[in-house]
Formats: sequence, C-alpha cells, structure tokens
Amino acid sequence: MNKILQTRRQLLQTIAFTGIAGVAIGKFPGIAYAADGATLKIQFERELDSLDPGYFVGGSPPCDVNWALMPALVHYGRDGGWIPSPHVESIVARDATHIDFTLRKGMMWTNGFGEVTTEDVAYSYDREAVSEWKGDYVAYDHVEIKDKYSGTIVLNQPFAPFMNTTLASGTGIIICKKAVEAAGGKFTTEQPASCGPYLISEHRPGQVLKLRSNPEWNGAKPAYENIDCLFVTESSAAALAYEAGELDIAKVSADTYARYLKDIPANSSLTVAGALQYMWMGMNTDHPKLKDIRVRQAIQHAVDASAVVQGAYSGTAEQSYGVVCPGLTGRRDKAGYSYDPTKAKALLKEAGVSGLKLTLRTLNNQERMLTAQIIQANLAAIGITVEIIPLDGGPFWDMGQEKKGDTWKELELWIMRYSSGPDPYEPFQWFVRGQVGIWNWERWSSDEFEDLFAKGVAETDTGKREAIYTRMQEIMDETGAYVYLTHEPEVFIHKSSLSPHFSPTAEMIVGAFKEA
Amino acid sequence: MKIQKKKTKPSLPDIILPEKLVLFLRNPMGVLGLTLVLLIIISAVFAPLFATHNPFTMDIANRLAGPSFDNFLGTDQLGRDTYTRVLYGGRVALQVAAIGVSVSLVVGLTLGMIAGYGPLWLDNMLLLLFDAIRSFPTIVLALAAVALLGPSLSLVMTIVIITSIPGYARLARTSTLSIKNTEFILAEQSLGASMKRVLAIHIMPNVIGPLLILAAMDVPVVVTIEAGLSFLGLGVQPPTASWGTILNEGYLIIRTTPWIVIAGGIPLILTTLGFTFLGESLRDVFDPRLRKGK
Amino acid sequence: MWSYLLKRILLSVLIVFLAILALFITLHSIPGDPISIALGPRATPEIQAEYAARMHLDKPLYHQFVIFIGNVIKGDLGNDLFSNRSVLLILSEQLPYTIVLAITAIGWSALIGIPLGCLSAVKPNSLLDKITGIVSVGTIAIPSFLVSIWAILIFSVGLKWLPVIGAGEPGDFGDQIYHLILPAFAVGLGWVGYLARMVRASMLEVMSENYIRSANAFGLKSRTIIFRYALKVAILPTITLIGVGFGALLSGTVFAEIIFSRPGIGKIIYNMVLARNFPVIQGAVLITIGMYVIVTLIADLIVSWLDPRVRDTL
Repeated sequence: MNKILQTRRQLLQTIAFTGIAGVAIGKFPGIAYAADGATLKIQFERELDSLDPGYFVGGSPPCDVNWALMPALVHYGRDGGWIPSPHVESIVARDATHIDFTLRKGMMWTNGFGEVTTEDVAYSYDREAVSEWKGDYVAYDHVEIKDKYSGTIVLNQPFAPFMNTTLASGTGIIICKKAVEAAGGKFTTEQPASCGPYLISEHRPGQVLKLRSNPEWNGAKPAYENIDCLFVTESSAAALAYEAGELDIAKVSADTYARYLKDIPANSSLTVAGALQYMWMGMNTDHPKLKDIRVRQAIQHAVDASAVVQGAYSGTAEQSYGVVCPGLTGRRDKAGYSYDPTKAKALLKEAGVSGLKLTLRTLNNQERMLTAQIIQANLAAIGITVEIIPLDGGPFWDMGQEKKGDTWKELELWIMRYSSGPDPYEPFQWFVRGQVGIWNWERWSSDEFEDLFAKGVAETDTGKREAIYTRMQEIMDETGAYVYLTHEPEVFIHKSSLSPHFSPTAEMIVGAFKEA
Repeated sequence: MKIQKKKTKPSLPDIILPEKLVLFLRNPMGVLGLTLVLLIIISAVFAPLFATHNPFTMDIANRLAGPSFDNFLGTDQLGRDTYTRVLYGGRVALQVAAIGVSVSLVVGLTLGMIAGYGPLWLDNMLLLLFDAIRSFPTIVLALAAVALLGPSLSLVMTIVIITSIPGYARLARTSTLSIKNTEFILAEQSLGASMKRVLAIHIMPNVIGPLLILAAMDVPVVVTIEAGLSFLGLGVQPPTASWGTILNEGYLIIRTTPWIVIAGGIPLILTTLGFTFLGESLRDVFDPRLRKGK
Repeated sequence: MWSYLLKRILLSVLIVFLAILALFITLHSIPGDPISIALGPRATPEIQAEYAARMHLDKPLYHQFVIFIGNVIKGDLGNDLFSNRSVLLILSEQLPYTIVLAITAIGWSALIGIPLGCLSAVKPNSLLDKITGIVSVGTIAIPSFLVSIWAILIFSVGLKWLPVIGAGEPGDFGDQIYHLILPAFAVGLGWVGYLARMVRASMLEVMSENYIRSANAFGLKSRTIIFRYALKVAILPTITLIGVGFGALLSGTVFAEIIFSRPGIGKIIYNMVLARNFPVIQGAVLITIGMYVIVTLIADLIVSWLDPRVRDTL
C-alpha cells in the first residue's frame, strides 16, 4: 500500500476513535500486515470447496493451494514440459511402463505424522485410481515399493503423458497415508497433514486464504513469505482491485486484455498463461437431430470464427483451425471447411431439414456467452434456431460424461475448451475411442484415427509426425462434429516486480513465484 | 347585510375537462410524470418504428463504437446498436410490469375484498397468509428458484407477482373494511344482493382507487427487480435485450466505454421517476386525505 | 403491553412456520425426484443416500415435514455438498457481515434522511424543501447496483481513497469501517430519499392536526413541538416502512456484496446458486425469512411501544 493510502486510513481511524469513545481500538495499519514487500496478494476466482485430490472440483484454487502445500513427484517446468519436484532426489522413466523415483529424505509431515515415504506415494495413487478422478489414472497399475524412500510406478500400458498430465497435475500430489486414514479416509477444506514450502495460516471462506512460509520446510525457501489469496469472483472487480493496488496479480477478461494492450497500468506486465488451449463447438453425433452428417457440415459452414475472435475476444485470441496449437508440429492454417453460409443452406436443404431447433450449452463467462450469441446469430442466418443454456463450472464439466448423469444423451451443441501440452499428440488423446463418454463427448471413433494416434506417439521424425497429425485433424473435420473457434488464452496482469509461474491450464504455481 | 356572492366565470379548462384532471394537470410533477410514462410506453410499444437497426444484427467490425449519427448511443461488444436494444429492452420491462402488476392487482384485490368483507375467521386466516408471504425475500427467492429451475423470465415474474400480492391485498382489505358497514352497502344487502354482486359492483369501484395508485408506484419496483436479476445473469436470456442485460454487458466493459452503462441506466431511472411522480400526483388528486398539506 | 408482546411473538412464530411449510410444499411439488431437487445435480450417490436416510423419504409426507421442522429447530440445515461443512456454520459466518452492512446503511441514511424530512416539513415549499425533494427522488430513482459501480469508479479507482474489495481484517476495527464506507453508501443512498419523503409526509400530516396548532397557540417553542410531539407520531409509519422495506434493503446488500466482493448472505446465495449447491441455498432462504420476520417483529414492537393505540389491534 502506498504512503498516501496509509495516511488516509490513519485519518479515518482517528476519526472513528475520537467519535466513538471507549470502543476497542483496532490494530494500526502498520502492524496489521507483514512487512509490505513480503506479502503477495493474489486472486482466486472461485471458492475453495475441497482440497482432496480424489474428490475436488479441480482447477484453481485447489490445485494452486495443493501445489504450495503438498509434495509431488513432478512439477510443471517454466518452459513447458516437466521437471523433478523439490521433493524428489531423482525420477526417471526407465521405460514406457516403469517410472523409478527416489524421495528426498527427512521431509516431515505436519501434525506429527512422520516422514514422507514411498508408502504415502503408493497410498495416494492407489486412492486416486478408485476416486472420482480415476479417469486420469486409467493407465496406472500400482507402485512397487523398493524401500522407505524409493519405488517404481508401474503402468499397465504405455502412456507417455503420465509424467506431465497426471503426476504434475493436481491429482498427482502425495497425501499422508496415516493422516488421511486417521481422518476417516476423506477430507475437505483442510489437509490432514501437509509437507511443502507453505502452510495455511488462515482460511476465511469466501474472503481470504492465507499462506505463510513453512518454517519446517527443509527445501529452498519460497520468494514470498506470506501470500494472501483473496477470493474475488467477478473479473471486473478483480481488475479494478488490481488497479486500486489491492491485488498484485489478477486474471483479466479478453476485453480488459485488449484495453491493457493499448494502455497498461503503471509498473505492470501482462502474462499469457495457458496459451496451449483450443476452443471449439462440438456436436453430439449420436443425437437424432445431428445424426445426419450433412446437418453437421451445414453447421460447420455457417459459423464465422473470425467474428468470434473479434467480437468475443476483442481480437486478442488466435483463430483455431484444429486442435493443434500455434507453434506446434502439425498446426494447420486452415480447416477442412470454410465460412460459407450459402453452402450451409444448401446442405441443410439437401438433408431435407428445416426449422431445426438446437440447444447450445456453454460456460457462463463473458467471452463464452458472447461467442454463443455470435454462433446463435450465425445459425439463425441459415434457419436454425439456437437456445443458449449457460452453465456454471460444476455442471458444465459433467455434461458429456456418462458416469455423471444423463446430460450426455441430451447434449446437442456445446462450446468447449481443452488445454494441451507442448507435444502435438497431446490434444488427440481425448478423442480416441476409449474416451467416448469420458472426454470424447462427440461420441465418434475411427479405426484410422486410432492407428495414427499410436503411430504418432512412437514416431520421432518431425516430417512424418506433421503428416500424421495433419491427417488426424482432417479426420476430425470429416466427422462434421467440430467447429474450431479460437485458442483462448488466459491472461494475467501483475506487477512487473513479480515473475509468476503457471500450469498449462493457467493455474498458479505460487511456490515458484519469483521476484522478477 | 347582504352577503355578496362572488360570481366566478368558469375558465375554459373547467368547462371542457373534468375537475380532477385539471387538478392533476396543475401539478408540474404530475405532468412530468405522465409525460415520462407516456414516453416510455410509446417508445416501447412502437419500438420497431423508432428503432434505427435490428436489435439482433451484429456488426463486429463496428463494435464498441461511441455515439454517432448512425448509432445514437453507440454499439456494444458485438456491434449491435445500443439505442435499438434499449428501445426493445423497454418492451421487456413493460411486459414484466404490465403482467406482473396487473395480475398482482387483480388477485390482491379479490383476496383483499374477500378478507375484508367475509367472516372473521376467513379474514384472520388470509391476514396470516399475507404476512407469511410478505416475509418472503423476493430477490433471495428468485435466486433460489433460478437454482432449481434455471433462469427464465416467467419464473421471475411469478415470484414477483406472488410477493407483491399481499401489498395489494392489505390495501384492498383496509378499504373494504372501512366501507363494509356504510349505509348503501347495508341497503344492498337488505335488498338481497349476493356477496359476489356486492363485491364486484359496489365495493370494488370504491376500493380500487388506492390500488391503482399503488400499482403505479409498484411498476418501477418490478422493473428494477427484473433489471437487477438480468444484471446478475439470472433473468432474461441472451440475445434478448433488457435494460438489466445491457447494464450487465456494460458493467463488464465499463472501463472501455461508459456509454453502455449510461444507456442501460437512464431508462431505468426515467421509468422510476416517471411512475413515482405519476403515482404521487394521482394520490394527491384522488385522495385528499392522503394529500400531505400541499 | 405484555399481552401484545406475547401475541406478536406468537404470530411471528406462526408466520415462520407457515413460510417453512410453504417452502416444503414447493420443494415437494416440483416434478422430479425429491432428492435431486433438494440436493441438486451435483450430489454424489453417497450424499444422496445419506440424505434419503436422514430425511426418511420413505415415510409419508407429513412425517417428513415434522422431521424437517425438527431439524430446522435443532439447527441442522444440512451440509454443504462439496466441503461437507454444516450449512448453519457457513451461513452464521456470513450473516454478521450482511447485518452490519444493512444496519450501517439504514443508520447513515436515517441520520441524514430523517432530519432532512423534518426540516422540509417545517418549512414547506421553501428552497430547502424543493432541493430536498429533487435530491430525494433522484436518489430513489437510481438502482443501488448502479450507485455501487459508479462509486467504485470514482472513489476507488479514480481517487484511490477507498478499497474495492473485501470486508477488511477481522479484529481490525478501523480496517472494517474503511471497507464498509462505499458499500454502505451505495446501499443506503436510495433510502435517504425514501425516508426523507416519508418523514416529510407524515410530519406535514401531523403538524396540521389540531393539537399541534393548540400547542403552538399556547406558545410552546417550535423545537419542543417538533421533537416531543410531532416527530414521535410521524416516525411511526417510517419505522414500519423500514421494517417492511427490509426486503428491499436485503436486495441492495446482495448487489453490493457481489460487486464489492464482500462476504455476506447475499453473496453466498449468489455463489451457491451458480454452483448449484442446494442445501446452502435452502438454508439461506430459511435464514432470510427468519431475519425478515424478526425485523418486522422488532419494528412492530417499537411502534407499539411508542403508540399505545396499536396494542389493541391484535
């Protein structure tokens, strides 16, 4: 807080004191906070419901908090990819199905639960494999315990993303076997025992979660002694709070991003996290209204993705032509279809369809809602009436999953975004046959696609890979079930003195935040 | 001594227009209120005539433009003309107000008359019901209903209607109670008129006055509730324009351009002012007892 | 006095009971499986099973209602779907903030509005009266969420005088007041006008009464007349208005809490609605109804204390 602010606050306090005799005096501003430079104030967009990696809702804030609090084998590196975490001495993928690791000695759990051992690792992952997040652990078989600190993770099939997508992600953290069992096997807003650079010093639900540096942590000390995580759900409120000096980092909407690009606040920088994301509109190929491929193709030709980039994203997102992101092998510069409303109308006529009504489900934030309205207008222009159904995070991510209710049957159109890692095979893993009803909500499959996927993972020659991934994207076009929209970025504004670090899905890895 | 009676020549308005109307027109606030209300109603009903564009047509290249000859109030994020959307938003507001207020009025009037006129046990029971419903917090209920059944305008209106009824009912009841025992009612009853007839033909016209005034004052409340809920994203759904959704869109980009929030806010303010002035002037004119020492 | 008090309290209890009954009936008359309706689409099978057992859904409806009421009285409003904390606990953490905001908002608006109304009534049609009139209607007309937005822009971002978000550190009284200023201003602004007009209207009516004229004729000082006689009578409808208008006040706090990111009942309802966290929503509705009834009760009791004539009306 700057000097002027402190003086005014003290003035207000004085007025309050003299006006109300005998009321208990609050602390003076200078004492209420830790030394100014060492307390970082960050924003969480959602409430913290549960820290349990088997049962949480996922994303930020539970992942952010867990990475600061709990041990893991692998962390996301700053340049993409993964790095061994500060909790391990070594971790090596011996072959396609075996990962050897050795934990550092002497890492102590809080609350007197002893050292972090291989048993904890085995317990954590065995537990994940039967929890709500078992989808991430499909390839996991078990952990072979060699001794107290070392073991081997055994996979039941080759699954290269295990290091990146699984072990480094929120579901890869290690929890304390003794503590969790003592707590009854499940927990919510409090970790029964933690071991990491930070501890939770205070959690006021709906207001703030305070992290402070763990005095017993025997690894490298983090750059920031205290981190106050303020829960601010409105993105405009967050931007305003940042500009008023109450936050050191805030996520901004596309429109604010465009504004900041032209005129950035003093001493601030913009960081684009999660650039490796791809957003598209999906169609349920099993739904009776969308079973005819001509109808789907008509929809493909009717949507103007460049309008989405301009209208919904203020020109700040790159247009997408496939699931492979910019900068990666196999990225295309055009899709297999183009914006052609005349052709769209012709296709509909050919299919003998008129007066079609469809539902379009989307996440309930500003950019997605604007995108939905643009699509709605585009489809209205070819005679399809669209009803927009906005959903909040929870129901949205459950929509197409067979295990989470019946919505997957009623799904017609929806706007979706997945994120990928730096290797181009990564986006395709969600559209294979085995993912139908899990993350392949379009519910299609193709033998050629399966074949090419296996080849792509094993292939090393860049030229050949490019051909493989281009062909795979063509197959996806041909299903007619995809309309590629943008590569939606997550943008953060922060003080120039802060160098933040993010996961590929734009969660904050606060333990790795540094001074710039 | 002869007492001279001063003969006043009747002025022109007194001849042509009824007395109450003259009284009303003499009150500048009332005239202002009436003008505003008429302005809003006409602009909403004849929106297509006054509109310069189609409210749904997007013109992405021209997004977030400031006011100009083409777009009187500028354009929004998708290039839609704000002025046109405001006009059409008036339709939503008026629809909500008209349906909401009239249904509450009719139901409240009926229940209130029954409570006032009927037997004591019925009166007490109805009073209890009114008080119970009156303690329902409208916005909170609306939020809960949206959670259950998804956002929809009709849901919002239903809740608004239900929570408004007790207000009208109590007013109707009080008025009914005060004329229940007057002579002409007793006369009707002795002539054998049924309860329905007494209520509908004799009591109702005398009771409805204050209710209409309450209705006029209620319209801005109802419109503001709809705007508030749409502002939270829980009322009218896109792409329909309502003043609340315009305000919501404008709030999210308020640093980029203030015009949209202004455009969405001003009609709300004018509606509130107009109906409030109108209602108060009507009250001053029709019910001198309520007139406060002017 | 005491019999009125007793009767009034009994009436309030009855009203709360009826409200809960209405809520219960509504929940059960919505088509669909009552468990999904009560818990929403986000409940896991285990939570659903636990709920079914706890609410004895196999028993007849009236038995279920008795259990429901019993739970409410015991304070068991269910558990949050995700964090499994008791709903009562969650709401009781948030409730004080809303109450503080509401009281502060009404407090400052009454402190300014009532004297303004008085002054206008004492000098009707003067310049002060006309200005007050315009200002009153002006402030009523602007919705509170608009006021909040403009207030933030001017005072927080523009002038950097006041904070944008949060309620301040607990225990740091000065900080809490600092964070309370803008939201209370935004919520209370409309009430200034409303109260001023109400007080003015009642005062004018009272002041035209015969006994006031007599007091004047007797030579009592204006100030005595106003404060000891007129105001006491004129304030009564205003108190009732505040009690009944508590609902509108609550809506104002909902918006202020959302826009200023303050904790409170309004904000938590809004977040829970988005997250489809039904048990909390239901508990919040119940608590809000309870608050209403209590506030109207207090208002009525104050009025009956000041005006004995009211005590016979029950």
